[in-house]
Amino acid sequence: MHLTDEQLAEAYVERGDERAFGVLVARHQERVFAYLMGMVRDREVANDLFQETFLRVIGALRKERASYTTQGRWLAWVLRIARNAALDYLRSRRKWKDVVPSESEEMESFWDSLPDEGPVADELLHLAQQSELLEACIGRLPAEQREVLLLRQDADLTFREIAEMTGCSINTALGRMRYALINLRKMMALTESEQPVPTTGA
Amino acid sequence: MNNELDLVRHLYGELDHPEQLEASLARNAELAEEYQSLQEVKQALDGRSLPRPNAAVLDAILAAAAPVPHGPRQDRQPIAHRRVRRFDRLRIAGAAMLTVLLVSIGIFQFQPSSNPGTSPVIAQKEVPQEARPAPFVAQSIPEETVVEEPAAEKTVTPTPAEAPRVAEVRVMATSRPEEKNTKAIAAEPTEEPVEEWDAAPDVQVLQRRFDMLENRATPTGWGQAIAPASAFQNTPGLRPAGN
Repeated sequence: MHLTDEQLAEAYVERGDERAFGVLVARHQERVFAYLMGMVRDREVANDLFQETFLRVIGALRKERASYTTQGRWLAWVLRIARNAALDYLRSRRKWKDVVPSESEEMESFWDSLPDEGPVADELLHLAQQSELLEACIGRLPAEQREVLLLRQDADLTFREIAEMTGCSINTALGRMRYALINLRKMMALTESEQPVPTTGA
Repeated sequence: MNNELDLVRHLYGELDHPEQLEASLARNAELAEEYQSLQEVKQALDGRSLPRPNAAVLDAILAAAAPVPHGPRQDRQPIAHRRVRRFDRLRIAGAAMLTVLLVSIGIFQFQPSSNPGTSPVIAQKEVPQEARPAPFVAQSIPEETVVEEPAAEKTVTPTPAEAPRVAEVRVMATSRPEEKNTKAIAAEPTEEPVEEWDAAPDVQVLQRRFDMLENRATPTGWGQAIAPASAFQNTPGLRPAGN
């Protein structure tokens, strides 16, 4: 019998069923951690934020039960908490600026004013694994595009949920996603053309 | 622009009416090329494996999610609730004490009536004694009629503390002044119907003496002749003044 997220959360809140909460964590750990990992691009920090996120979730479930039931899906509520934890970290590291979203801005991002700690093209050439290459390309995306990409592709939120979470319109979220995919396509094409062809054994 | 955004919607299965977009893709080669490129990127994204958190982090989360001993909520109850609970306990204790008090009073009240040796006799004899006006009245009224007095009068049950007082009232009722003037002292006890409980000779003798002393001690009423002093000459213990 497959229980929904809301049923599991209710079992934990009402009866203190920690196994139900364990199922929730196991079910969504990859989505939440992938989002955090893509946002901060540091595994240790992502682990800390992941733990911080679920500790906040536990505290919120024990004290404010209705805070997630009135906001739709449980996963969206957890990801909102994860986003707040990530933004707190990024603000502390001065890697995030709060901007007023506009309908026309997509490519002219504030991201250009932030320090670029992502791997450069030369480093990308040496990445052996395609997945690592893809991760590196994602890491070079502007923050808003990357966030929408992570929330839709990895966390499996709808564009409406993403728009509500990030405080923008649905068209803005769709536009950011479109540009994210286009930029990824360009970066992948660039790195594939410059990457040396792996030599096979004689 | 809407068609381009619909490409993203359609790519992730959120387009309500994909037929229109598919028709547009069939007519617009540039749009179809963009859709193809986006679809390739998405396939690459779908093929990658998502990272997982460390096991130690998961263990720490599950340990924190363990229920507290008193239940899943660990927030303190408001002080007002504790006060209300304390008042409830006091109220229950007060009700219990009141119940015990009422029960004990009830037991004390009904304890004399439950003793078959004393109270029924008093109840039966109390009414005839009070209704005993005079010897001739007692003779004219049958004893059975006196016994069948109203139940309210029969059930008058004096407490042990009131028993001597009842006996005194009974004696006073039998020695009213108008009756004393019309009958002889010696003849009164013999003509009076004797109850069963005081039928013993010693009790009757004691009652006669008591009545005699009562008559002598009663002060003279208005309009009654004053007894001369010579009437008390034969009284033992009395001496004329001046002798």
